[in-house]
Amino acid sequence: MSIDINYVFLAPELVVLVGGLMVLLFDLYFWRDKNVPLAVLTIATLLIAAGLTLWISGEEGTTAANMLIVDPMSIFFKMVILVSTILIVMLSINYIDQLKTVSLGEYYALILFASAGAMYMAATADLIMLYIALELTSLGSYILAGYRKFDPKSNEAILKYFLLGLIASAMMLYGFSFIYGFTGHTQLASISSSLTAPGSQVVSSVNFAMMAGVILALVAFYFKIAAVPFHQWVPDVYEGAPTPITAYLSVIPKAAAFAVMARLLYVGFPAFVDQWKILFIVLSIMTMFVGNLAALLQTNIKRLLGYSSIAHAGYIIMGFAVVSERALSGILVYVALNIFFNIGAFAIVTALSDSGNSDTLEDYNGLAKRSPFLALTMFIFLIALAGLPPTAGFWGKALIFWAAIEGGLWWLAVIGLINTVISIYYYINIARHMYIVEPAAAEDIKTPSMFRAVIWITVIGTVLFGVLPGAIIEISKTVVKGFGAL
Amino acid sequence: MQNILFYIIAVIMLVACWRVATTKNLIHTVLAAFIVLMSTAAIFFMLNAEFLGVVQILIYAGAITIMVLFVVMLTTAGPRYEVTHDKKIKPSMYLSTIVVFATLVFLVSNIQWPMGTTVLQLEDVTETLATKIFLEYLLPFEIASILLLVALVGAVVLARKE
Repeated sequence: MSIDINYVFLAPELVVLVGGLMVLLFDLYFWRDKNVPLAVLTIATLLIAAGLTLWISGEEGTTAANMLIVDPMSIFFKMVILVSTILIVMLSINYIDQLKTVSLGEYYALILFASAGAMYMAATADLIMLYIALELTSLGSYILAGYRKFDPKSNEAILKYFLLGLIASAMMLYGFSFIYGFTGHTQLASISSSLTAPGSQVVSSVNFAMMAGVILALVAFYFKIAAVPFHQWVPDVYEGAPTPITAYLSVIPKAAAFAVMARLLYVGFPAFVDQWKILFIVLSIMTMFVGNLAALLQTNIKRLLGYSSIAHAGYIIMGFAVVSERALSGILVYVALNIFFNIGAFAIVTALSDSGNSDTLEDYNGLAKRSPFLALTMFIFLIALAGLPPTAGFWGKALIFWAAIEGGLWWLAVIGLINTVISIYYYINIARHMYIVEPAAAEDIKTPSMFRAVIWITVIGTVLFGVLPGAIIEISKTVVKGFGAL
Repeated sequence: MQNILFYIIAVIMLVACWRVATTKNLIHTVLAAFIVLMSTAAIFFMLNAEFLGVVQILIYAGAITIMVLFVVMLTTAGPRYEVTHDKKIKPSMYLSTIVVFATLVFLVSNIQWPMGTTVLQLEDVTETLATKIFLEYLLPFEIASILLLVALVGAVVLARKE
């Protein structure tokens, strides 16, 4: 008895994991608390992993007894995760100096481990592997969220995130036990075929067990993407966590969770398409309204961006309510382009809090006078977050709304548009603070070089993909073609 | 005979679960949890899953219970700390418990589980488990070691003096 292991397929994740171990060891023996070499090692690891991922991007297959899948979908999400992790690490270099933590190497190592977990989530179709991968991402992000130990808000963040995350994981496992108990499989493809096999006794009495299983299993991913009613952790955790980690939480676990949801629904349970459509319509409407209406009341920018990211999850979920190629490719475009303007906005928040300002909206008063660069780039990111052309934020939303109208859910698209209008109000309110309100302090804001680098990369991405979205839309179309039940 | 034994264990387990949730003394909570875990092990033995039963006793009932006891003893509140429940959240506690319980009862009673006739043979259980872990589930098994490392590193990061 033996199994075939294709190490080339395993390589990207393995490189990230080995990189994490190397960061831990180098921090221990050679580069004790040396920020820049450790960060360079981390980024180099991620670049190698990204290169390897691109190298296997033409291939398709599975390895390690079907535990790991290499297909366009997993490659796409792995690239999203790797690129955003690189940006987050760059954002952390200047930030972590000011944090003065004694656990510097562990910070970078935990980021690498959590991202490896996210990559495994994006590339597996097995319930057991999925659980381990989810826990790897979650444990890493719990600890990173609590890195500002001197700050009670950070302590609150880690505790809330940890306890609620545990409950979500427990519910997911309970759901998995229903699915396994009923079908006897842990592989999504086998589960799907045993459900649709003609004459199987499973089909005749399928309803309750499988419905309970699927709904409970999805809870952990609703929690990760912060869909209402599993969103309560978001404002507190986003506020308390170190700002680069807030950016991390708003991009990487979410991307992984969307990848898993796409796989669960399109590969695992296409038999329940009618039921989960209703589920996602209801969730999408609730998530959009709660996120946008609550964001109107916020005075802290991290909480505001937290609620706005809840609203964004609502728009993306709308893509799951419509089952079509266009909807799925809209989700991919949204998730991929989201990394630019989301991380960009958080980069500016980090740059400001690094220069001694707090995160309240008052501190953005007159930003245009104190730092025209930060104010202008923030304005571009706000337009993108609101989803207006000619920025990258427009295309994901446009594709998903278009798919909704095509799929006969035009009223859902209208609700989405209403929400977009609501969201413009609070995004423009930030712009008003930056450009119209007089500043309380007059001194200029110095932006360290790495923050500048991240802001430049993200702003170029936001504008470039906003004007020329053709490439990314084409890629998403080829990824979606032939995926699962489509 | 098996059925009667099962019901006895199930009743012990439920009473212990109830004590875990309601008792005010932390040490009593841990002891009640110990009984829950031991009765789970008993059910594993009844299903001929003797490896899982032993692991359950060794790791959960043994190691984890002792560790939780240590935590209770070493925290500043000490073993005499009494858990208090906020009066304001009590109604919502009861409500959510009842809703979840009712939903689960409804679901479970409406499911027709596919019934098998094969009984696990005592001698192959451990072997089957080993082949599954080291062949079919090799990758998750290996990643679990990284997961434990992350938990370890994280505990050090959080507990370390700045």
